[in-house]
Amino acid sequence: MSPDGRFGGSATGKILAIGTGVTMLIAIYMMFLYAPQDTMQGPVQRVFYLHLPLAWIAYLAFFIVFVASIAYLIKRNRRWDQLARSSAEVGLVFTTLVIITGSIWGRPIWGTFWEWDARLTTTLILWFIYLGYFMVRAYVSDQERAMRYAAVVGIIGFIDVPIIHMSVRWWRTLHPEPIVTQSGGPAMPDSMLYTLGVSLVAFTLFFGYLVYQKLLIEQAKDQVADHNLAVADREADEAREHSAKGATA
Amino acid sequence: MRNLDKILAIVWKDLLTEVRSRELVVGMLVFAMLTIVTFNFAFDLTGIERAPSGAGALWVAFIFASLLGLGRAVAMERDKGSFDGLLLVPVDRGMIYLGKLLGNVIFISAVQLVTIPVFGALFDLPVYQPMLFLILFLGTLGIAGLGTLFSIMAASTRAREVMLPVLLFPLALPVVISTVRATTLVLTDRTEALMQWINLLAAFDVIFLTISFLVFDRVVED
Amino acid sequence: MDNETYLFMAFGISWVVFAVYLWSINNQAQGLSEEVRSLRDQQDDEHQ
Repeated sequence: MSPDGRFGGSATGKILAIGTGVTMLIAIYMMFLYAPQDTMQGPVQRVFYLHLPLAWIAYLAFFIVFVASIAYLIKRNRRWDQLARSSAEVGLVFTTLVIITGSIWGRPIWGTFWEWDARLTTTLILWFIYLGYFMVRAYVSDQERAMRYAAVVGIIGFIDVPIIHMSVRWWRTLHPEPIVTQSGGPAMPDSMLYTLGVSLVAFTLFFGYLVYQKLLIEQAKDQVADHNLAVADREADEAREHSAKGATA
Repeated sequence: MRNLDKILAIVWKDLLTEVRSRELVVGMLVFAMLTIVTFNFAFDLTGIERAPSGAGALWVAFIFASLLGLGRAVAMERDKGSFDGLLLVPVDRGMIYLGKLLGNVIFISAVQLVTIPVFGALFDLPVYQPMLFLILFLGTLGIAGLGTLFSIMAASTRAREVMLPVLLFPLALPVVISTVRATTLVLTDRTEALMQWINLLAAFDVIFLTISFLVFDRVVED
Repeated sequence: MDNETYLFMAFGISWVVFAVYLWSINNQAQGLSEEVRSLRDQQDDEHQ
């Protein structure tokens, strides 16, 4: 927060906002006009340029929550918790969109909005885990305790992701195999790959911008809460002194 | 006192309390039985396909009964204030976790030992197999491992009854999937893929118990 | 519905969600900066 009490005035915020705006415009142009039509899936394949970056960044968001949660439990510095909750919130929004865009893509391709396949199921469970993360925060009255509990959920939740994925995968799978990370190079034309790359950069900047803004808000919230607590304490002290004086007099 | 003695002392205290009051196990048992009976109306548990549905019904019953027991155990301790007393004892917090975990595993296993024969008789499934008891033990260990940690966390939140399942269900999902799979395979006598699932289940148990053990003292500190 | 409709549905919903989220972040920031300013004024008054 800048000295005059306004948000978003800092250089970091501005750079992130402009960077997001510019790359996002290029990404949108490439998604719709530059990238060739997919011969098998038709226009709906372009959802992939939105869906995949969102999914990767959602995992990145929860990885940040994981690291910040460990750091919080070790260092006990509130800044780590502020980072964890900011990243978790943006991650939850992105995960929600991953599920929605994936379902919409699935309707014309698979013929159904939902399939109980490994990646979809993992993402859905992930969504529930981080919903629980925010419920823990909301239902614990003591702030410091809420931070500790949330950190525990943030750590176990992230370690759970590959485990859930593996167990659901053994159980059943239908999702198209990852074509980007296949051995022997990705099985798609270069133009599609460039589009995906630009889109990934744009959404990463966007994610950075959102987390940064959210972080400023969380810091300010904590400061206001501290201030209110201090004022309440001082008033209580004054009231006590007052009554003590009254008693001696 | 060695660590093992400390753990056993905690378990012994919980067992004695339970033997005197009989509040936990009886409630869990009746609940598990009723769940299985109710499932009979929801699914067809008499046909050839009854083994997979039966395995699912059995574990749903055990998980819900465990949730009930875990929540109740912490609530009882909170009412009596005995958990705060336990934290004052100069014992490593990890040992307290292991003691509580072992107690919960014993209670859930007691419920299972009575439920399994009834389940086998009601649905005519071959339940008397050593492998099934191994799976029951590993599954219980995994669920109680996370459940012990989360029940203590949930106890100091406002919506206690809600928080325990909200945390436990998604996070314990790998344990649930592998136990239900392994149970189905045992009940249908298809043993070729069974060891894979049992190994997976054991690996999940190790992971969950290790993390819970490590973070436990951060949860109970006050 | 044809293939293209799903494409626009996916993008449409995503942009709406982003817009609402940005709006809510902005709202929170504005509300907080007003609160901080009023608290600061209060403090200044007390000091005088």
